[in-house]
Amino acid sequence: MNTNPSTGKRRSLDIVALLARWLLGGLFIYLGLSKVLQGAEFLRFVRQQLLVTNPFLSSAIAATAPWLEVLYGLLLLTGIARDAAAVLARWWLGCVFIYMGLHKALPHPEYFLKLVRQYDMVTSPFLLNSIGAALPWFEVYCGLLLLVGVAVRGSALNLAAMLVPFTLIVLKRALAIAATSGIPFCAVKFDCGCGAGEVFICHKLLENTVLLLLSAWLLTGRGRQLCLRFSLFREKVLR
Amino acid sequence: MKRVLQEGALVAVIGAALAFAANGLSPHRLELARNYFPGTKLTPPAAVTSTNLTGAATPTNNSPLELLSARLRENGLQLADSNQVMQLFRDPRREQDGVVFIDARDDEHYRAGHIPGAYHFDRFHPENYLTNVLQVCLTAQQIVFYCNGGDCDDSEHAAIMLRDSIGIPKEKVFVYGGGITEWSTNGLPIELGLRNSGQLTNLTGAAASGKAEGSRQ
Repeated sequence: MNTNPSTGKRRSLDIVALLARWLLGGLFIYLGLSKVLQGAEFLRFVRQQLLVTNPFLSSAIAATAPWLEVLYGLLLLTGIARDAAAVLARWWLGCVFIYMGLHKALPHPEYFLKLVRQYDMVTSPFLLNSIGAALPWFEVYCGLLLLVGVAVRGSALNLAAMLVPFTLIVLKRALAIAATSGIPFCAVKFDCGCGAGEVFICHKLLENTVLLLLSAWLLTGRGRQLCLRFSLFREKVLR
Repeated sequence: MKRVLQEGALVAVIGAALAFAANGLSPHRLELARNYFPGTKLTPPAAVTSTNLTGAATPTNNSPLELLSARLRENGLQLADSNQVMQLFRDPRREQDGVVFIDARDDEHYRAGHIPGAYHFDRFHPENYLTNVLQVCLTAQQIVFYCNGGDCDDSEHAAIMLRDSIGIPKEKVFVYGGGITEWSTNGLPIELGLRNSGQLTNLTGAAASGKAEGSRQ
């Protein structure tokens, strides 16, 4: 019988990691299937938000992307090709943040500034402008680092550190809207300034959970393959 | 763990520096020292939510118009309703810039359709528009600012910015709460392209597109 406390701790962490992977897999499947079921809305998103105007290309993306999400969810659930899945997670997370950052920064950063102001977090114009000016580019930067595989854990840590407070303030605002307008929580739809236009709050919270879990997964040291420089500092070699 | 935190801090510091540099280099940059929202308070969430749900009742006693009117009064501005705006639009003084309309939306929306003869002033890039509106604002007897209407508060901020920066008496300044959405819904003429382009229409499509992006403007 093994009574080593470090082994017990490791086993607990493995169980947590397994549950997180299943949750992530389940969320990918759910989000993919919801896009399949709301095909017209997703097609509109591809055309208007992703700016894919070519009808054939936009239809092709709208038809295949949700099923790829489902497939990816199944990969995570079953634990097949975990290393490849981690690399895909890194690329996907990178692309999402590059897209969302660019969508906020160009061509009208003032739209994002207005949305940040709606949260009523800061009163100083300088601080508000600093958030509006730097945050979108910071997201692009972290996304690029993940995409090329530089300082992966440091970038993932920054993304997680941004996602947690953002999700909380979006949740707070959605609760306020639901309370004052008397509509069900999941029916609240507004532009949260997340870079994807108006979204239903429950869907947004699920998306942010996915992004947060992916960041956490990369933080554990996964997704090392095809990296330019996974870690900025020299890592200890375990013998 | 310590290494990850150190790497995270390094990424954050370099990222912040690069992000501010990217903003500085961007042609669409935000000026950090400028107050883009002068002299205003935020609208409560219920009034600013732009859900697409129909029949979502607002249980507050004050209508959005009353709230807007109160907020404008607080900022020393006057609310103009559609009747007043129509009268001002038909006022013969408008021909000689005695009555001036100012569109406070961005260039894209202005070109897609504006009140005929309206000047353009995008407060996020005042340096590009100030020379056009400065003289007319100083000589006009009445100035009407508008944007999309609804949640949009660009007209209000533009009015405060111009009033305070060039010293327009507050009695002259009006804000059209209904904005271009109400204007075009009422079937009133819309001018396309540049000011005095002569391309008039009363397309409600312009209103629809404005409405769709109302929360962004």
